[in-house]
Amino acid sequence: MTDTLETAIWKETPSPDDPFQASHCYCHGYDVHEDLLPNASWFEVLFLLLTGNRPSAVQAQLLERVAIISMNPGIRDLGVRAAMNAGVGRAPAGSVLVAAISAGAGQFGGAREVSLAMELWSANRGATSFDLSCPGQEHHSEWPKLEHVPGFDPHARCASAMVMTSIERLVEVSDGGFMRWLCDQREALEAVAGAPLSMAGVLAAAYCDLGFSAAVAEYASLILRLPGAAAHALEQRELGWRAFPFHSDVVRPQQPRPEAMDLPDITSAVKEYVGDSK
Amino acid sequence: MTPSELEAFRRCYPTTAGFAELSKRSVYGEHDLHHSLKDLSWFELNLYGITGRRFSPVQVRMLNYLWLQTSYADVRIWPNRIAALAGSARSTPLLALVGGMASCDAELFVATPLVRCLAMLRRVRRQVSEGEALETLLQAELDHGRTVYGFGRPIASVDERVPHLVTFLRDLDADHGECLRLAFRIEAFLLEAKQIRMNIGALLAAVCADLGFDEVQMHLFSSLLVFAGMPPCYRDAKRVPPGGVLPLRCDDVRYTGVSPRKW
Repeated sequence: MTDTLETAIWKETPSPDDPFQASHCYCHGYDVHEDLLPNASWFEVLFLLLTGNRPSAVQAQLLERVAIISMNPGIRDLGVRAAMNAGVGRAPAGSVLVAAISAGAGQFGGAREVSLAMELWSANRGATSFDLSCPGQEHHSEWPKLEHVPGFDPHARCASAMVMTSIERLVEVSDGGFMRWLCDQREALEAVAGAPLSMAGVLAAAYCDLGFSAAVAEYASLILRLPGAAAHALEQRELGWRAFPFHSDVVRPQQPRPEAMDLPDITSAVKEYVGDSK
Repeated sequence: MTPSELEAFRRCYPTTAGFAELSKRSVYGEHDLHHSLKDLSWFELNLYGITGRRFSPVQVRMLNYLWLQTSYADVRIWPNRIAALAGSARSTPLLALVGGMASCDAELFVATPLVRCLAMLRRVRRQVSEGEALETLLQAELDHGRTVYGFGRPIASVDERVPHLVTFLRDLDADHGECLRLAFRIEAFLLEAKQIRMNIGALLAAVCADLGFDEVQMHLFSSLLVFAGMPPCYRDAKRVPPGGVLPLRCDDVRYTGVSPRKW
């Protein structure tokens, strides 16, 4: 056991007269405030922080495009809706983003699906026939059993225009081969999956081309989807709970309900409480 | 803190919470968890952790009922809906529950109304005991446009939990607290002045204030107040296909922003 933290990512040098105050911070060897701040972009620094490597210009551009696609999964996305639920109740920002992550982490449309799809792409790229089963699920028993093939939309009839446009725009700035492979093999993969490609599948190929591990991509997916959650939660907070759907008539109990009983009459008790204290 | 004060904490962190001597024993507060606390219910242990005090069996029943009666298993209720949406996204059970719990740190329900109502009740109780008129104090609150937390309720005008809790407390002969009665006097004033009724928050805060809770203890106690409603909603979401919880079509969203334009 030790009381010393170990890291190869972050170095801080102390101020001469205060050992608790850092004078310089280095991210993978680069001075954050003197060097990266004036010379690097947010996406270059994000890539550096997560991978330890300085990205090529193409990689930085690809990550930026991934971020633009990811930044708002949309107002109907389950993570964004969770965030709006917290926001409309005027929960603090941290609570809103925890709610966003609680659903946005999932393996249906969430960060977990992206990482699982990456494993499928890595296993199938270069193969002559595709196997889209996810091995090793029994080792992840904290997650619900998979009910669809990661990277594909079980409810859609065909890949959406957004998915198709995103593939085109990501292929333009992708030199890793996975995006091109996905673009070329999409229809064959969809035939094996029995479902059209989803945005999670597209993002998974992009993360493969960035050289991210599935674990790093899962974090990146979570981080990059939060701006939309924040924006929509803030908006619903301002619009107020009266404008937020309550789905009054949609939720219908399926099981027999106990007979409704009258509320207890507390009139005399309340009179006693109010009278007592006067 | 100065660097030397920070250094002192770096060298020694004084704790009153407890101490785990791994492979030997665990001290919780001032007690051995595996010996002197082993016969407590988990709920009683949690109360001890929140307040540092032990409660009588009747008080434990009262506090237990506060959690029980606020745990509604309805997916439309915000924390439950978050847990259900996470279930629909096939997230893990814990992530779903944490998301729902996090939302309870809210201004409109659970944490903030309870903490602020408890603070108000404690303050008003003291001011009234010092001779100030309750009606004057409340009118001043209204004149300044301040929210009287614990009074008024979204969605419905009658909070059915109030008569149930009053009845439960009366059955235990535990409805004699000063703040409980003060809460009903406040309701009587607000009913006349603003046609506003008490919601369960006022009564919960009053019960906790009468049991000596401070604001931090109230906040900690509120953390699991509606918790038991969430697991059924997560399980429910798992019973339908992924994405099946209250799905929205594109035209279920009413757009009010600027028309499409070029960058």
